[in-house]
Amino acid sequence: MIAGAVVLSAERIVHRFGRGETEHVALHGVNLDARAGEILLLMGPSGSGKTTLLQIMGCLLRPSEGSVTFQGENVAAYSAAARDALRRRHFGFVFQANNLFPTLTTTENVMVALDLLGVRGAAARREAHALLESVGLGDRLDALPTQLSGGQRQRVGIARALAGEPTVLLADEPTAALDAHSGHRVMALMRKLAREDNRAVVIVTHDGRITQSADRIARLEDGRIIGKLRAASETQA
Amino acid sequence: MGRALERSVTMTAASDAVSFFGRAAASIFDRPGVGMPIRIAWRNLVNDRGRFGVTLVGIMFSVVLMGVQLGLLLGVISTTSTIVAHSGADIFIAAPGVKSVDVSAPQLERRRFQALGAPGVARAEIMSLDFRQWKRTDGVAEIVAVVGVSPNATMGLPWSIVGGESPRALLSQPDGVIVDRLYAEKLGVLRKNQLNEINGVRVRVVGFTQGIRTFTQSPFVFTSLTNERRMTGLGHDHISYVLVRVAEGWDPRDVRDRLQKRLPDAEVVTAAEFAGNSAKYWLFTTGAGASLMMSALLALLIGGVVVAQTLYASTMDRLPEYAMLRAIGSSAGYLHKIVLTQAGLAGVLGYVLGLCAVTIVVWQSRDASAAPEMPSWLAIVIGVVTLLECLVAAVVSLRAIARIDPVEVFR
Repeated sequence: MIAGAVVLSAERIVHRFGRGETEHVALHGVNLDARAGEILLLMGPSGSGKTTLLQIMGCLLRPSEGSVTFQGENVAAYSAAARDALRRRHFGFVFQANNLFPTLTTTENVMVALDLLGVRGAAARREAHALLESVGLGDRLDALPTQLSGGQRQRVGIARALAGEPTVLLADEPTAALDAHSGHRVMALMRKLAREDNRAVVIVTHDGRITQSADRIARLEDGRIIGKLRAASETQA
Repeated sequence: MGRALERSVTMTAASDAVSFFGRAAASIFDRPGVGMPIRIAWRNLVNDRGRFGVTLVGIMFSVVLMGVQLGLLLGVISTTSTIVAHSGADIFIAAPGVKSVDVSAPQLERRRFQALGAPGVARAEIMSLDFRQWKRTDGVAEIVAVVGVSPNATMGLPWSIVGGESPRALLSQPDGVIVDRLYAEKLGVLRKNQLNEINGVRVRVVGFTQGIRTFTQSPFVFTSLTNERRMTGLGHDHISYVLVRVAEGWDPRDVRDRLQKRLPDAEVVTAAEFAGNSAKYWLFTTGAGASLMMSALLALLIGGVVVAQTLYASTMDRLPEYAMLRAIGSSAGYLHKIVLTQAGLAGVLGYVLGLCAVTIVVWQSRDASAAPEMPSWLAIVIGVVTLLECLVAAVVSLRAIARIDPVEVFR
């Protein structure tokens, strides 16, 4: 994949929740794309529709209208099983709450994701160790999540998301529960994953501290992207 | 002090056993080659030891109760038909209306000769069975079922003779009777050659059998036909049963039909039918069968409810992780595998523990007058039923999993 090439694209996305009087339009014809080798931040106040947009781009939610294109193919109409397979093979997810199995070690938590890809046994263990080492947790391979700090848990979540070498990394508030130092470390890791591995990274965040790590920032308000997409350097300026 | 120490030692031993069991299981499920769904299921179970303990106790309770109740049912079935099952006869000819071997009615001995004349009959012998009063040496009276057979008989003889003595030799002794060791105390029999009375007739205990139980609680006492007739006062031509052995190559059912035609005023049944009728008679006229089966069913239900509840609680605890798995692309089937494995593991472990307890109960009651039986086929049936019980109990959890929306992981 060429750096800067569009990998994932959301076009004219409209999404409605509820029906009739209770209907609420969360997104009004949003257009957005994620590119290889860059970090795209989705920012905006609560209820602005940024998480809904992330869910639609991650094929977790079907849009009411519009299309989602992954590597040139419209995936919005995929069957549930095909969307499962797409997420498994090409998308990595990082969640605010990590959602690690508290009863499994860090290695085993990563092995779960590899298991879904059919990588099992000693090969899975080797790969999980390599992934954990790549996020700086080579010395905590057998630790349980309860024995780790918030930042370390988030890095286990990133290692898990990297299982299968996904093309796109989608993260929901990855630094929200972290202190400044841990947040910085996580973002440095995200940046490395985008730049060195040429992945498209999309991050939903409220955290203004991390804008300097982004390549582009999209601000959402009431289900619309406000103004032009700006480069992070413009925001800082 | 002694009791406290004993209790402490017992509790330590139980704790050690559980700990050993847990370590042994962990060494299996934590091995590198074990698949992730099994590993997750096992960790889910042992992570909450209190809940796991309740689950195991629930399944154990279910297995023990099912095992004991069904074992007792089998025990009752074999006890009620033991005389028939061990007779060596293929066909029984009884007075009309006789449904159970214990509840006999007199008939004329000439039926034996009528039977002998029927095609397919190789042998026909006679047996008497009637309830009489046994008087212990201390004057206490007990009711016994006196079984009279000829010392020369080839069918209907007592079996499991203690010391391996010949039943024919024992029955040939004048006034000799054979009682079972299980009931020796009840009958006040302290030793061999002890003298007692049946219906005022002096008898001598010449031998013992081991394990011939009676459902009626009136012990079987074997004696010769001559002695039996002295006790009962019935005429020489009155008997209870004609025992028939069919000739080689004949089907007992064909011979039964031929005999029934020849003896229309008699009850002619194969030994298997008579054994079944005897069991049915006692099981359904006394309500014992229905009661035992209901208890077993109740045990199954209670075990199922306990497993369903604990498994559901465990599944609800893990919903965020399951939603995460769905979000990263796992199929619903993968999650089902985890929950069903969890249910299956709990079922297998609970079953093993329960079966150990049932084995102890069966062993402890081996000398009791009502003993449960646990043949290997019943143990397997209970195992399969327990596993099914746990898998069915998992349905509630599977439904909860089916409702998981992967976007919940963002909440």
